[in-house]
Amino acid sequence: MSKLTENLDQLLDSYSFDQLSVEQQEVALSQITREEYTLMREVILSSKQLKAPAIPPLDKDLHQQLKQAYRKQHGFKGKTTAQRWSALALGVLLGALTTAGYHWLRTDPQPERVEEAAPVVMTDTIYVQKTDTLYVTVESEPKVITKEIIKYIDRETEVLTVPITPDQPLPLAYQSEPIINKQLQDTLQGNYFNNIDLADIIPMKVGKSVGEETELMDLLREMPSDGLDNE
Amino acid sequence: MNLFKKKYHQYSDEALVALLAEGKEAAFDELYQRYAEQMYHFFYKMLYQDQELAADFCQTLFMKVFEKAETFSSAHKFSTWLYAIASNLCKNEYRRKSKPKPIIYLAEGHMQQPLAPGFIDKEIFNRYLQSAVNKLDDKHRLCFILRYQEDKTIQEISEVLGCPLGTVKSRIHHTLKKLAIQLHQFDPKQKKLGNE
Repeated sequence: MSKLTENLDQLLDSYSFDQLSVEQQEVALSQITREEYTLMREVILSSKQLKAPAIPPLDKDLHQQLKQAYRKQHGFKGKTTAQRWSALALGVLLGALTTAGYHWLRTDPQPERVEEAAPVVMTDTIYVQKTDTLYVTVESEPKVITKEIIKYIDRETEVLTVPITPDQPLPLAYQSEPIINKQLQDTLQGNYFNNIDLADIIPMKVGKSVGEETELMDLLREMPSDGLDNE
Repeated sequence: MNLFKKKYHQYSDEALVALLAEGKEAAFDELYQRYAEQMYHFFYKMLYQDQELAADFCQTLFMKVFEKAETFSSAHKFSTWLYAIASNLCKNEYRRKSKPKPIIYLAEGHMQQPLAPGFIDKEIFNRYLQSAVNKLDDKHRLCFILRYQEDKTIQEISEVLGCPLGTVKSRIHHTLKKLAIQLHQFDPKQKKLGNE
């Protein structure tokens, strides 16, 4: 759209052809004739006057019908009059209660009641979760060792007091000591003399007699005499 | 109860839509009071001067205002948004009826005053003007009515129709020129000149 046309529309909206300046008339006449300008302006003015055609007014019930139709279809989010009244009544009630409570606190006739009041006993349960370390020293006697000693003594007593026949097996306490067992068995069998073969007990040493020791004897012969032998 | 009642008539259109979106029914009442008659006349002019059809469309329009209040963007004027919805409703109606119904009607508003003899031609002119406007194609009629009968600016029409400013200006200019050519023979001034 050219600048001239744009200017022409502005002129048409605002001025009749006679009201235009010479320059404006030249702009207008460069595009349309004077008659066209006059007629176009008349169209504009007449159209503006036509903007309120006389028709029957809108039905007053349309507004309510519209709201009811919308509520029916969608459910209106706003509050109804009854809801507003309820909210107001609740507000008034709360306000009255607050005011009454405030006055009651301020005009309490027996403030000393607080001093005379019985102590309040409250029982409650408190759950405490706490972790701690306790060191406990426990002393005990060596009962096991003492018992072993007593047991040993009992065994000796048993050996000494209980007669044992040769065919009877030895008490278990002595079975682990073969040498003493044998000696003990010999004693019990009446072998009062020394019938004990020491070789069984002590390993025999094998050696030579003095006379068999030739080197020792040669050494003795060569030794000077002190004269005592001859006396 | 009036003690607690908000004075909705003091609110702007945009503030009222925001209140409507929050569920304030009274905001809708105020918007309806402001725009119902205006939009009723708009539909009456756009929809073949059919009174019942205009009332139906007016109801549909405000139903959509109810439904779409939350989608309204405060970046636009409420009236622009309202006319955009109304224009779309008209376009849908035009599509439904392939051709607008040409009705010639006499603008009775001008007949409330006793007509002077010189205005009789003017009355005839207006009647044919209305007829010529009705015969315009949908796009040009919409632009023309919005501009000269609803007093919308070019910018507002551009936003309502969702088209560039240049397109709106071009449509209006061509409509004016077309109407002037059609109504040339009914020019009261020419007749007056002729009589003289």
